[in-house]
Amino acid sequence: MLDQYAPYVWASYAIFVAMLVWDYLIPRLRLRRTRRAIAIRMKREATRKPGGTP
Amino acid sequence: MAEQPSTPAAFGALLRRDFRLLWRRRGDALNPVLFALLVISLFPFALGPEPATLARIAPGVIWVALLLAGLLSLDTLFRADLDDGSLEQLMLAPHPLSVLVGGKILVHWASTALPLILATPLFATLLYLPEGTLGPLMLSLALGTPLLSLIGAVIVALTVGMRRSGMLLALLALPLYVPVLIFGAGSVMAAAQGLPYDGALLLLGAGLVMALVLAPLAAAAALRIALQ
Amino acid sequence: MNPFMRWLHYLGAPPNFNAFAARWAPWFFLAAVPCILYGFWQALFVVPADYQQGDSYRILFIHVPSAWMSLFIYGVMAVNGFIALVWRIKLSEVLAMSCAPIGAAFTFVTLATGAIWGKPMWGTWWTWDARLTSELVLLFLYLGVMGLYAAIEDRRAAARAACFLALIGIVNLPIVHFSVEWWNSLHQGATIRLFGKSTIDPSMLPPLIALTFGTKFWFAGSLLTRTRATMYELESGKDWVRRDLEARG
Repeated sequence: MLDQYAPYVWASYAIFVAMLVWDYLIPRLRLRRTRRAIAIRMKREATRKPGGTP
Repeated sequence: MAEQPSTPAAFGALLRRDFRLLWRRRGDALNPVLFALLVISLFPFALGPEPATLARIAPGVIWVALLLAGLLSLDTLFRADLDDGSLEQLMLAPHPLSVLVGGKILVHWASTALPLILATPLFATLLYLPEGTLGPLMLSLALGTPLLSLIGAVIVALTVGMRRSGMLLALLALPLYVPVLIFGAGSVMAAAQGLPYDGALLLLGAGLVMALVLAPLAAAAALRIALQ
Repeated sequence: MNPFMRWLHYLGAPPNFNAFAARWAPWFFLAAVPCILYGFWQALFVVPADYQQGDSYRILFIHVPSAWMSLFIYGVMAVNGFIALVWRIKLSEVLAMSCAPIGAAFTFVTLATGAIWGKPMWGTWWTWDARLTSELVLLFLYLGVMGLYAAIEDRRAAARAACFLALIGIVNLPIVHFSVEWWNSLHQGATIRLFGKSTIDPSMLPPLIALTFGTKFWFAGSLLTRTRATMYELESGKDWVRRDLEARG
């Protein structure tokens, strides 16, 4: 299999995979956070409408 | 109402105004020189005072010190005019903004870089600059510092109005400064080794000519983008 | 107006792009993963070890596609930046800004894998040769675009300023490469040629091609997802966002 350079090779491939995972997760987390914030705002506005406090 | 002044007349008026404002604060012209002197003085303390060591790094250190001093002084290019509203007036003027910006860059270079260039023989002495390389050094700075001012002006225009933009400014300017530094300091290093150095200086000159035409245009565009 | 332009116009509207991105991004990721896995398998287990470099050259199959992506993504960013500045299309602004972190990530991987490859091979983590130094400057360019975008309050003005910077950068990058090459030739012997006269053996092509396609598909999926996420943030007050939220639960 791989000779003495194995740790270097594995390290490189691991960095690559780690980068892809990071790249996949970050926008998803952002989108989820944004949707949650909008949902909360919508709920707040829904409860405010009938009462109508300025 | 008086007749509309021509663009060259407006350019001249802007130069006279900026120089007059500068003259009122002429002490400030020493600030970049003091900064460069401090930076240069750090190296003997860091590396030891042996002439041989310092002589080898002298061209590079002087170039870096002047580059950093110039970078720090870039903020003053538009700051005063931005704060008192003159910048907006310049942008609304019926003259090409690029010409007016070019004038401001000229005055800024004369007030920040020219003192540095005049102080260079002093810096050269402090660092034991090798014999015969002062000429190429001054020439490289004469070509390189206007280039740095022009390139820096574009970046400063893009970030005008930003508070605490110092670190960001340096990050944005560095990639653009690298080629100038390479050819500028490189020409002096070549001269120090007895190699031909006119190629590098010609490249600097070519870059300067291009920047003289393009940088004011880019800076004007950047101002409009940053201040809309 | 031809159909392609009409389709681009259609995509320019945020709700349409959102639907498009939501629909197609998963497929791009789905196309990317097998390519990357196949590339890994080929690179690590099938392709024979190099005569001179042993197994460490397998890092090439990560390093080279990442380097290509770092440059390709900058090109995509610059094109979108140009469109954004000239035609003021909001979607192009966001696309350009979404390119930057992905490009920076690939650039970082290029630099890191280059250093890791350099250590066993040439005994040094870093060398100031033209390619690595230009790659480092490229990283600064990406970080500069991201930094400028983050530093300005108004999102559209911020995007336009950063797009302008990206365009300046694309002019600058070949200049930097050229100047660093000159500089290395001046200080002879200080360089270690990272890529020598090696010609790619045909047996080495499958993993290289697989990872090239895989990273491109991945980039497409990631760009669509990031742009969608940013559009959501920018348009959060609009009706279409609320309707989309209710529809997708």
